[in-house]
Amino acid sequence: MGINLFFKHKMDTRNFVALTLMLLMFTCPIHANPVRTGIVEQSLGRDFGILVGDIIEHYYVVQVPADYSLTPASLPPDGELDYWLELLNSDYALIAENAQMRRYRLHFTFQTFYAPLDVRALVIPSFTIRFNADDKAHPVVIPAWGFTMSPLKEIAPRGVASDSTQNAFMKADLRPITVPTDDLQEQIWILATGFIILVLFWLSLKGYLFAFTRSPFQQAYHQVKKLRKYHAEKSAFTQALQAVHQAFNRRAKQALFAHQTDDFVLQHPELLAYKEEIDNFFQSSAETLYSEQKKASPSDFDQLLILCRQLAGAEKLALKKS
Amino acid sequence: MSNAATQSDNYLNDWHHQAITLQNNINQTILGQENIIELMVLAIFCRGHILLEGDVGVGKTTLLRAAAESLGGDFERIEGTIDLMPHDLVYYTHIASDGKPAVSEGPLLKHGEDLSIFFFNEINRARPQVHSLLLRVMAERSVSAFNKTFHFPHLQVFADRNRIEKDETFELPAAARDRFMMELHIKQPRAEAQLKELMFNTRYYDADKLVDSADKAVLPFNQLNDIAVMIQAQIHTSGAIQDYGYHLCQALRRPQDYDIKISDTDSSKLVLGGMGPRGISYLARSARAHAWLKQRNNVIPEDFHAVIRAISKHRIFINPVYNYNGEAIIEELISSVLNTIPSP
Repeated sequence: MGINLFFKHKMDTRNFVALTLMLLMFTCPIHANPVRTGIVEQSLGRDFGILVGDIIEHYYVVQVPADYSLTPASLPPDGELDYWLELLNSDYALIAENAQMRRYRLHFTFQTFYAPLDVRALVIPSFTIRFNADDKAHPVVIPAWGFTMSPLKEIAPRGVASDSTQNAFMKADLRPITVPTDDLQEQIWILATGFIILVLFWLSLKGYLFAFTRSPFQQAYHQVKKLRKYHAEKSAFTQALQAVHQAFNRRAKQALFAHQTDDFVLQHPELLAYKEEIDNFFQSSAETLYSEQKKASPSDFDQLLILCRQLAGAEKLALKKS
Repeated sequence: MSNAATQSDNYLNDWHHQAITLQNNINQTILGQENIIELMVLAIFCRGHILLEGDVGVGKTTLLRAAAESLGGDFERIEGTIDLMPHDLVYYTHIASDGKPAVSEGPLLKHGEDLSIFFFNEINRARPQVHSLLLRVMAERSVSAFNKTFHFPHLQVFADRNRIEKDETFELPAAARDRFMMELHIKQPRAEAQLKELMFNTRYYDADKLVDSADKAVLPFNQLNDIAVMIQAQIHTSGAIQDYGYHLCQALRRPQDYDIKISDTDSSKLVLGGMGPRGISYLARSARAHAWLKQRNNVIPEDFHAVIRAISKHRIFINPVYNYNGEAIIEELISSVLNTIPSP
């Protein structure tokens, strides 16, 4: 009886100790779990049926201990990664942090320019992103991503080499629907014709209509004739001389000066007969313009008019003969 | 006409005769360089310095010697060498007759104010240090030495260089070239008769005798400054000719503004600089002197035409891209400007 009581008491004590230990184990953890690091979440999109020119967007959520921060320079630079692959953009954002960890979201935008003729398996190579805490570094590898690209063509083309327009593989574009413009065209023609007639009428009134075909001396004649009306003004004769000089320059196709008249009449033999008059003009012009000793009179205008008429007449005659 | 005006006209006429005498005197010594000699006479009457450039043996030195001898006044000549230094022009050290070392005035100083012509032979063989001394002498007609300033009121610098040899030579800086009123390019005569004369006439065999045979000091050199001032004052430039001269200079600096096109070049990038205030002043002065030499009282466009190449060619600095053909391009530019700018 005494022994039984002893054993019963002993069993109760052991049960109590075991129960206490179990409770302690669940309520008081002896050691905290370490922070999980690396990629904790990712979104890579579909890895098949990608066509030339498609944009591929990859999102990763990376978790690192709280004292680590991302080194932006470790992100791959934008630009060509391969002859067929371009990284359009890479960016990152800190999306969560607490006393134990930080979470970054990384976003990479690729574009593929590979133009396969059949289905091809390709790989975007892996790269490493660095996280730093003082002098410690924690690299996180973004793994390579394999995918397949599809060609831009019909899987089972119909009508290849077919003569039938209906079944032809390459079909002509649809004819665009045009707006009838016949009435508008008629109005435009009437307006344009009226405008041209008015311009021609205005040019003929101003005397510009055949100016380009006229001898430069004939044009100078008209200018001098107009200026003659203002012969009392000092600048009128200067302008008249200028008009005749310009006529010589146009005919010679360069600025013509007194010492070049010999060559000028040799190049324009139709004016050779008036060499003396031409030289007199240049001399008279020099006296007026450069020595400023000569005062103009109406007869000087007349001399210029005669010279212009003679030279224009000589040119007209030469034109008729040729 | 007032008495003063008549007197100055007579004075100018007298000097015109003397200028023609000077021109003929040099022409008698040097064959086939009439145009160059006329330009030299113009520079003399504008009191401008002259740089003569040309091939070897075409008579550059003889021409400058003949001009210097004809002008009169004290004449000094120095040869440009690679070891020539500025002090060689200013003083020289020697053992005097009493056996003691002595310092005497060099070729530039020893003639004092009577120095009329300083003839620098082969100037491109001298170092830039010498060029810089020459810059001051040419610009200010003075030099500082022995704690005082020496003045040379009648000084005219004649220099020559040959364009063939480039070894051991120093290209004249732009500033030095700009101080020369004219850079004259002397070529050998082309006329057959003249070449035969130079070849077979014994008179031309000995350059020293040839220069000695010409009349010397045909002008009162110490009055040249006054007559130069009088020429500039008396020869009239009308408004029309001033416009013409202005546009000529502008077109040389900015050809693109006048629609001047040079083959195989971009006009807007062709000219880097040149024809600054000194250049345009020299152009106007020489045009006036040319009008006077042709016995006119006013300047006409032909006066500019006669001198523009000698005045402007060495003052136009083109883009180095076109240096491979620089001389021809500048020549074409000047011709185009003359053919394009009208007057009036």
